[in-house]
This record gives sequence, C-alpha cells and structure tokens, in this order.
Amino acid sequence: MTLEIRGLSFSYKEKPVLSGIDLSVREGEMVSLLGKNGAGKTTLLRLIPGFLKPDEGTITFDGTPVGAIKLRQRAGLMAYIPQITRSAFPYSVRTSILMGCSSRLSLMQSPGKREEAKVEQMIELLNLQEIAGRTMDTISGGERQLVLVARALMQDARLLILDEPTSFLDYSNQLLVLEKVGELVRKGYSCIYSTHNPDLALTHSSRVVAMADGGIVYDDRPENLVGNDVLSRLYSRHISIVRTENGRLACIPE
Amino acid sequence: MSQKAGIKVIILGIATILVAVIALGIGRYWISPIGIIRVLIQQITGHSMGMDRNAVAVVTHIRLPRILASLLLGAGLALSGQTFQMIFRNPLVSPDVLGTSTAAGFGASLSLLLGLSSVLVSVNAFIAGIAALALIYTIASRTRREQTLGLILVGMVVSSLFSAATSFVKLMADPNNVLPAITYFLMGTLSGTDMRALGMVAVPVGLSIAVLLALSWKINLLSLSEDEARSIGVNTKLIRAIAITCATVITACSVAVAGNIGWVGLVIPHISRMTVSNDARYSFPSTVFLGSSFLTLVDCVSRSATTIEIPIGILTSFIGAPFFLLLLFREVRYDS
Repeated sequence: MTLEIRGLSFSYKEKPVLSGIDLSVREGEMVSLLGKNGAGKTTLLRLIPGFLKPDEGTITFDGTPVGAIKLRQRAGLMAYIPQITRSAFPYSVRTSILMGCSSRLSLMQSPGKREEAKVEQMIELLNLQEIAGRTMDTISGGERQLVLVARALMQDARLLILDEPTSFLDYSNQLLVLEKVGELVRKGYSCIYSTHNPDLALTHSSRVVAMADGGIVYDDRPENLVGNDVLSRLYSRHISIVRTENGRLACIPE
Repeated sequence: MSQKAGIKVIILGIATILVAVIALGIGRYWISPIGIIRVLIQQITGHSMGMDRNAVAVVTHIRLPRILASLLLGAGLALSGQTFQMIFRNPLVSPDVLGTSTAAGFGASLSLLLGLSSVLVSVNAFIAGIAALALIYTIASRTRREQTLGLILVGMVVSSLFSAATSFVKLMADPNNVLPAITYFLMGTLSGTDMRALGMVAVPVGLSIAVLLALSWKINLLSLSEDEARSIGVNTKLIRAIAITCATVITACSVAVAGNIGWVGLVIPHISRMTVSNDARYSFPSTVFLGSSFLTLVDCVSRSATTIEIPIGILTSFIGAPFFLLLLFREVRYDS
C-alpha cells in the first residue's frame, strides 16, 4: 500500500490553506502530523479520502488517483476517523463496528450472520470484549476511538486516517489508542494521524510531519528531531527534544 | 441484543393486531373481539358465522376503513418522524420539519376555499406537499451550506410562507361555512375516511413504508457525521433523497386524507428507541407497530369519548405534549 501526495494545494473560497504539499505514506508506517491550530492538518486529512477536492496536485493510492476510485471501493482501502463525535442516537458497540461492512452491502441490504461473526473477530483483535455489550454513550473516549478503529478494520481498510484521535482523552486513554493503532501498524496496516501533543508524536510514529503556513516544514524520522529547532519554530517557543536514559525521545518546553 | 430486540418487535406486531381487533368493536354499537373475528371470517370466507347484518355493516363499512386508515397513517407518520430525526441527527424533529405538511395543509385549504370535491382536496394537498419538497430541494442545493442544514433552513422559510398563505386563505374564506370546514380539516380528523380515501393513499404510503423499512440499515448511517458516513462508503446524498421523498409522501398523504395529526411522528420514535433499540433495523418496525397502535387507540377515544367527535389532532397533542415535556426533562437530567 502506498499513498502518494504530490504538489497538493487547497483553498477555502479565496483563502489558501495548503500549498505544494508532497507526502507519502507506505505500508507499515505510522505518520504523525504536527502543527498549530489552522496549519491545515484536518484539511489535509480530509483531502486524502476525497472529502474535499484539491485545487492542484494529485493524491494516488497504489498509483490510482483517489478521486477515480468509487466511494464504495475507497471504503475498502482507507478509513477516516474524525475527532470524537457524539451521536444523537447512541448505538451499541457491536452495531457501531458492524457499520463498517456497509460498503459491501447493496442499497437495501442489511448485514447478515457473516458480517456479525466478523464483528466478533474485530472485538477480539482490539480486546474490546468488556465493552462489547454496551452503548457508545456509556464507554470512555478512548474506548470510543478504539470502536471506530474496529469499524475501520471492518471496512477492510489498510490505511487509517485519524484526525486528532487523542484530543479530549485523558493521558492513559491517549496512550491506549496510539498503542493499539501501533500494534495494527506492526501487523501491516498504515496510519496517518494528527495530534497537538508532540510527545506522543515522538514516541508513537515512524515519521513526524510538521506543518506550518499551509506547507510541510519537516518530514523525517522522530529521532532526527533531536537537536533540531523545527518544533521551536512551529510553536513559537523554545522546545528541546532530548533522548532519555532509556533511549526514548521526550519534548521539553523551556 | 439483536435477538431480544427482534422478540420485542414481534410482540409489538401481535399487540397491534389485538388493538385493531378491539378497536373494531369499540363504539356506540359495542361488538366483542370474538364477534369482530367472526365478522371478519364471514367477510373473508363468505361462510355465515351467524353475525347480524347491523354488526357486519358497522364493522366493514364504517369502522374498518377508518381503523385501516389509522393503522396506516399512524405507522406512516411515526416512521416518517423517525426518518427525519435520523436524517437531521436530532431526536426533537417531527415529520413537518421541512414544512411539507404545512404546504399540504395550504393545498387542502385552497381547495376547500374554491369549493372543490373531497377527492380534489386530497389530491391538491398531496401535490402541494410534494411541490414544496421539490422547491426546498432546489433552493437548498443552491445554498453553500452543508446539505442537511441547508434543507432545514430552507424548510423553515418554505413552511413559514405556506403558513402565511394558509392564513390568507382563511382570511378570504366565508366565516359561516368554508372557514369552519378549513379549520376542522386542519385540526386533523379521520371522521370522513372511507374506502375510497383509504384507497387513494394506501399504495403510496404502504410503498414508502416498505422502502424505508428496507433502507433501515443505511438510514442508521445517515445519523453519523457526513465524513464518517462517506468514509464507510455510503452514498449519503442518494439515501437521504430517497428517505426524505418517502417520508414526505407519507406526510403529504396523511394531510391529504386526515389533515394535520401532530405529535405521533415526534413521540412514537422516542418510545420505540427507548423500549426496543436505537438500531433502525429494529426500531423502524417497532415504530410502525407503535404508531399504528397509538393512532388507532387515540382514534377510539376521539370517536367514542364524547357525543361530539373530538378531532384526533387535538387528542394526539393533548397526549403527546405532556409526554414530550417529560422527555425534555429526562434529557436535561441526562446532560447535567
């Protein structure tokens, strides 16, 4: 699986948001997007599955332009998971996961036994057994994100696009979500996610992409941020990236 | 959960049949449920079951069309309401959210003002309702807003315009005979329902209910955010258009034969979701059965409680409004 973005530009009405974006995500990669509010992270993530049409540039999935892939087929290749949303009608966890199979059903078809059996596999894969019988409004934010990840896997999507999956979550839930996604990436899935927490990006990604003023100012492995002032420039304050005694990277604002 | 919800739906289905049989017996001429079953068997098979002519005439010619209408319209209005609630991701929405029932009411009022026949009153009410939907869709597609928000905003405007137009028709109407006829019609009543009126709406309402039931799984997905639904691979525009059209056909047909019957489409979906499931695969059929039973029971009260028939629209409001307040209090407690 390879996602290639070349020369991508996008503007809302007259206001340019992204310009000249080049980015790729390959199989087994976990790419984190960093940037201030308004840097264009969500816009970029919404452009990938074709929710927005770029002004210029191309987005291809395994060589095929994403815009040329039919909506139903696209669902089987990539899944977009928005920030935590609260539904007016909280469905059960099982029903929420089951929704992921919808692209394979005809217009008036409902899921059957085979799809329901697959839901149980997804529940097992993400260790959601304890919450499987509950409704979405009675589980924690982190668990809700994992249910949405399970729904994405139900789609058979290989690329997970997560828009700020850790916002509104407590620290343990932030780690839980990214660790689970990390496990999936090690199994061959790919992921691109945005975050406002550079510490999480350092520890839970194979590549960090920093965005500012509608462009990409850094696209490299997290290790190479040590001694680099890109985050200081990004957040307009001095930030040191250090390697701790146990070899992990950490972010220290000064 | 799914098995449990399925069993509840079956129980509600059986309860609806029981309500219908009992309702056929209720009235100034009381007939026991056993008597009703004997009349029905006699009518279906042609074999005499020993029921007297009066009982047969009351059941088949007077009560049956009316009860079939209350079953059909109750089911339709409740399902229409739930469909709109899911499309607009708002549990406080009712079938008249887009103003199509107001438009249908205008069509009927204008026809009554012009002294047209009862058939034309119904036909024009239906045409006005559907024309309003076409108008709303055309204008909303030209706004730059998100589709559902655009539909609601344009619907409010169209509803307001047709409401004003109806008031103007009332102003023009003769206060001695036409104005009371318009007012009584708009209050909502099943009193004039006969087999001919039922025959006019049975196919469009029945077909729309069938389509909505068949689409129930996909309509679940419309209640997610637009990005989520599209990511799952759902053609939201197509499903929304089919669902809104079916729900509007039901609403317009209902106004065409029975005037404005409020609250059924708002309250019944709540009860259905609370007692059965949020999943439309189960809540849609349960809404159909609950809506049928509710309207049939209210109609029994409407035609038997007092010597003068109380318009059903008034009774559904009397029962629905306090219930809705109760729901609001529950939601306030939930949010706090």
